[in-house]
Amino acid sequence: MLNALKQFQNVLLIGGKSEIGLETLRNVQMVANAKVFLLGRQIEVQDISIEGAQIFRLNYDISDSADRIEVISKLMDEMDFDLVVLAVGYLGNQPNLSTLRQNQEILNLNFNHSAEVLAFVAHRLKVQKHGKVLILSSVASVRPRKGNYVYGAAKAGLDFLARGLQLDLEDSGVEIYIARPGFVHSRMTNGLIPAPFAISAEKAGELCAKGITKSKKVFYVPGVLRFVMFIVSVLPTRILKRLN
Amino acid sequence: MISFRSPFTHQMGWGRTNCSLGISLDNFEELPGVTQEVLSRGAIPSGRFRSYGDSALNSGGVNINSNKFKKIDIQTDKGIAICGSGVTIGELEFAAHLHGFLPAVVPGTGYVTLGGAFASDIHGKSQQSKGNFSDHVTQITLIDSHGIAHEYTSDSAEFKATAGGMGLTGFISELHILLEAVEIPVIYQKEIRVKSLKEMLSSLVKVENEFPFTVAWIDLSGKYHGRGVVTAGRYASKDEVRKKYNLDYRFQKHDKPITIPFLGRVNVMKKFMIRVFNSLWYHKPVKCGLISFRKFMHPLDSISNWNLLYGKSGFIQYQFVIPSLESDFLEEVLLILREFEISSAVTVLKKFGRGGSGYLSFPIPGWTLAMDFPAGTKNLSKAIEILDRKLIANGGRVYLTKDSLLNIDAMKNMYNELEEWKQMKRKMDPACFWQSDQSRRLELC
Repeated sequence: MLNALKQFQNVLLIGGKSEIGLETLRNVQMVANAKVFLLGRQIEVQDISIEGAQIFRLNYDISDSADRIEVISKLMDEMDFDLVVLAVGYLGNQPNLSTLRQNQEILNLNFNHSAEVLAFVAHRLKVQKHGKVLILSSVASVRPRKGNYVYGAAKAGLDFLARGLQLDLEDSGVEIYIARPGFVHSRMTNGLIPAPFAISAEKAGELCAKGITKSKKVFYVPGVLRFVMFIVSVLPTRILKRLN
Repeated sequence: MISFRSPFTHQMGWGRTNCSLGISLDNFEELPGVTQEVLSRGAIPSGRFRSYGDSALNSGGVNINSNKFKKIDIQTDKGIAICGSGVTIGELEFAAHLHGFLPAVVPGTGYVTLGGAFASDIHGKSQQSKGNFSDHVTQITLIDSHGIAHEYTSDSAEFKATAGGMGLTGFISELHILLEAVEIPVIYQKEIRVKSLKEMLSSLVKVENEFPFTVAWIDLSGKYHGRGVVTAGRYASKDEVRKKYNLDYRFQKHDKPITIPFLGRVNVMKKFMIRVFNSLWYHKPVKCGLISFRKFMHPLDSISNWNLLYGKSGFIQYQFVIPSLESDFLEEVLLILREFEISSAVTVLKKFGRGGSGYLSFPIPGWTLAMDFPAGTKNLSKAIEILDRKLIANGGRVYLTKDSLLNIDAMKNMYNELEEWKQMKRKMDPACFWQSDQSRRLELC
């Protein structure tokens, strides 16, 4: 339960190795000895610490259909979660029509499986009538780009679903926040050429935590991307192609 | 007819820092009408929502309200009152004083229900001489999660688990309360203005032989000298009263408290205002003379919505007790708060004479200090963390009825009979049906 100063007590990070996710948790207000559950593939071998919190690592594979809901369901039976961060992300290689199978994987991880988990988490939080969910979407979801349109399509789907849930869960005590990060230097973007307004994972986490504290429903990371993406979304395709 | 309104309503503690969505029911018969999903969140008995934090809230679950349990039966021959749990202290006072009796322990407000008073094992200005509320209760009727009523007398372990048990052992429906015979419900009050904390402690100890009701107010703003006003009182005799009151003096049935308009959005109690208020309160003329029992016992009841003064974000009430009669710890507390530049609007100091009978009763012999902090105060969480740590090191504890910040480890270290209580909780409520936001926060079930 949140205490009187709105500090989190039980926190769940789905995609436990996500650098933005972890940095967000390092920046949100938590009670002393808060319980932080990290779910991720082979997370037990990772050395992760968050100051002042107890960390519980659970091996979790979102592509495993048997485990996907089961693990989270068991956890949520045991306690109320105050904050759930959905930080599953898989960028894949540049889309290519000949690698359809990989495209399918990008869609599955970023949308199909994540959507199932999100819907489940939202339902459970609705029963407990409190809790916050942070969804890491992406600026790639705003307008397709040649380099990452499959990833963008998946994130756009998740983003849309999350916005729908925001409407559905209004006045239910549950709050859903959508963060749309731009280019963040992390394991996922390792080796890629940085896009404009690239920031570090630490900074991204700090901004995500700020978004949660200020209860912003949809926010860009960094904030300046709101204006940039607005321009990008209204530019005629002809001009956008040239800019690419 | 189909109702499109959600059955869930927003509920808040008196401090307005915690808010939950729950379903409010008036009695047990309505329970089967609630969906399984909601029942899985359990239920918590509630009264007037006068506890400051989240102890009467149940997010997503049920609140069973005691407002319909209004029976009052005063048995003058035995000097006991058999009351429903929804009767408020004020209503009991009124009913009892007509027969020449009054409850021995009353808190700072008359608006709390008797069920809540027992579940919090409240104390009053008479703590050092008369003990806690549960010391004056001889029997309770407790309804368990299946709707079956049980009667427990004061020597049973179930009674001890329920006194101070925050409503987590069952729904109290009826209480037998011992009353004390009173000549006339008028108090002889004496106020002493003191300049330092040491002076305050010594005058509190000095007056307690003559006066059974004692309390002190400290100015915790500005430079923190520990200055304040000690208030002491005793029942006046008929001879003293004759000059000012009629000998058949009676309370008014319905007190009309003042309601301050336009409150609730903005925090009026800023640091400057707290300083002005405290300064005025310190310099007000000290009174020695007769005062009505109600005015003396429930000074804050004259303003019905004083909790709204703190605005939308509410306030945090922090009350601790320290098992020592020295002034060192209190001076340290003042020093810590002064370092963090934290001001408290209403700060009350009192001496506790004996411990409570319940496993989770708050009082232990020593000094208790209650403070009000606006929720937006800077450095508040840091200061409270330090205070909690120091309290644990010195064997002190925080009052659960006022708590909204405690964490699980601190709670374990403060209440040394917690394990015994948990055993009784498992015995009395194996399915853990009775739960509240506070019990989830502190893992009490």
